[in-house]
Amino acid sequence: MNAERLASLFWFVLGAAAVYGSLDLGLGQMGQPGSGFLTFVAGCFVALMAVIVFVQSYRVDAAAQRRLSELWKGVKWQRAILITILIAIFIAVFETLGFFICSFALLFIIMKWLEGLDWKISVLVPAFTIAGTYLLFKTVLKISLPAGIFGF
Amino acid sequence: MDLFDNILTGLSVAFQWHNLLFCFVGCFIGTLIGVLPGLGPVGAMSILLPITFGISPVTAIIMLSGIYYGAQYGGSTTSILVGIPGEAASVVTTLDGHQMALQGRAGPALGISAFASFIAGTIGVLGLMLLAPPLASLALRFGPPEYFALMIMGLIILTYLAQKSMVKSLMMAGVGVLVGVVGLDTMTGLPRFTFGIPDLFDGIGIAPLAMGLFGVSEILLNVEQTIKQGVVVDRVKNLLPNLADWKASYKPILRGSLSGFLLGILPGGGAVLASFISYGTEKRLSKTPERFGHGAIEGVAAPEAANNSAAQAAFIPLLTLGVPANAVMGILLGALMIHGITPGPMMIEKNPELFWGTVTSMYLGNIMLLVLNLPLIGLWVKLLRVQYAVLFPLILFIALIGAYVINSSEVDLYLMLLFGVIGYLMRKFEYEPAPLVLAFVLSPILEDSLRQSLIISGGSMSIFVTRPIAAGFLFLAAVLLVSAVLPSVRQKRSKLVAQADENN
Repeated sequence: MNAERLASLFWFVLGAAAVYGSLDLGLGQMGQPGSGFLTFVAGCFVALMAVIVFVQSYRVDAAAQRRLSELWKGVKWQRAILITILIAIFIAVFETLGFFICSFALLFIIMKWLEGLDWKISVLVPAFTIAGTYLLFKTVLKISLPAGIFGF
Repeated sequence: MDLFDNILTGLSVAFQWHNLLFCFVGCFIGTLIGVLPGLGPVGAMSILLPITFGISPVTAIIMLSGIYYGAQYGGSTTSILVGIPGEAASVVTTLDGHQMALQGRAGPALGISAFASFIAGTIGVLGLMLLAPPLASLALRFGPPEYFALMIMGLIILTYLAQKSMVKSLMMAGVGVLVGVVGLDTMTGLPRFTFGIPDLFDGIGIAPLAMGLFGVSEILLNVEQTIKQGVVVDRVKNLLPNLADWKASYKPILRGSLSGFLLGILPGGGAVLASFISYGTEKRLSKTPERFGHGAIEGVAAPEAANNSAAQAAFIPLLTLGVPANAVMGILLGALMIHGITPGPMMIEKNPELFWGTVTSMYLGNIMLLVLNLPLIGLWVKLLRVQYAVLFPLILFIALIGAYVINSSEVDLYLMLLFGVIGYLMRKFEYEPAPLVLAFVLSPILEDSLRQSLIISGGSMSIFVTRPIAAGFLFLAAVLLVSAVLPSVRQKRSKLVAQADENN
């Protein structure tokens, strides 16, 4: 399916879901709007705009069609996915393994493995950055950072 | 108190050593993130928001403001020397600024950019000083219908001026409202779309949303490509523009300052738009428009002036009406609320030290930025030589830690990642994130004012058209919407979009 239409369908579903949720919350009355009133209006609006985009996608706009059909052409999109996965893993283990281990692992993996930087940079830059961040947040601003199961 | 008393109050606040220090820190960080492509002022301010928890509200706002207008200065350095805009408002500066650098005139390009920024910043601060108090008095007449109408107008203006499809931008504004309603309903206490997650009861934070949509998505887009940061000069010489440069630039600087200021005041306007419009104006007014895009100094002076005065003017709707004009102002609004201050018409009267202290510090900040950007240019050139492969992991790491420390919440990190992926896909599919963020920020005020208006009127929508100020705002919004559909205007918009595409 055309990328433009697929995206508009996504937004339509989001708008429709918001409308459905707003009915549960209660629309109230015009003189006493309920919790779902604005959500209902905004949901209808998003769904309507999505329909317009969907219809417009049938109009011939060669330049826009070409741009959208080549969304992932000539770029290393796999790298974006890898970074996303790395961030997700970082978040999942951040509170368990703690600030130091997770931060160093994230930076080292990106710099050494993904970007192919040399060992010296991949170790020293993360080490100094993590130390500086720890000093700023923990020591200066007294904001707690997760110690993790190892206690540091 | 008259203006001079107010300025004296402001100076006494701005010259306190800790305020001077944080003003400098803000300007320095602003310049730094302006110079570095990939992290705009929205992301940087969100990350640094927790730092402001431990300091006074005046000092916090002085520092955060410094980051914002500092980024407008710094963005031009990367535009000129590398040909990549360091910041969205510097996209236009790239066209002639980088050409000047290629022709061996990087010094005058950086010099005129800094001086234009300084002059415009000063004009912007003066305008802010003169206009904000009377506007605040006028705003006292605003009730819920006027606020609602003003916000609708702001959102329509932003979507009207969107570079890509207006329908998509309107849709994003709707999505922003939907994201904004997540959390407990302030009137009934009912949880909305929280899915039983306690972290969502207070709603989605501006920091994970903005950092995801602007910061993480930018990184994901950049890692797909091989970024070559080719700095064209080793050492920048002759930073002071000569007489001919000044002769060609002084009128564009003044025009850019004025148009930037007017566009900056508009909710939904702002620095990016101001720079584009002032560039277009100068090209149209020029006797030799063919020089534009090939190193015309006016093409650097005008947009740099415009984006800086717009940055200062954007404070007016926030400080006088409590309505943020753009995402950056939304973060400032959040910062003020955290410190227990509600911006609005009464703020100048109730917190004169905060208002006048912040405004006066902006003038001092402009002087600091002139020093940071001219004598320290060598430092920024060195920074630009750092590989993106080293920079982006660090930016990502700081964003992650910044998002976490605000509430010590893992959920905020997941939200940031989610909005990062959504932002990445949005940019791919040509949906602009700015209307989403602005609508998100405005959503609580929008909802409260809509519900209060309907309660006042007993459920009649006529309240929005029978009150003149509200009717005026809505009329303007309707005119913009209708005109966008007119074939002639649509053609012009399409042409502008095509031009912007070429420029990018």
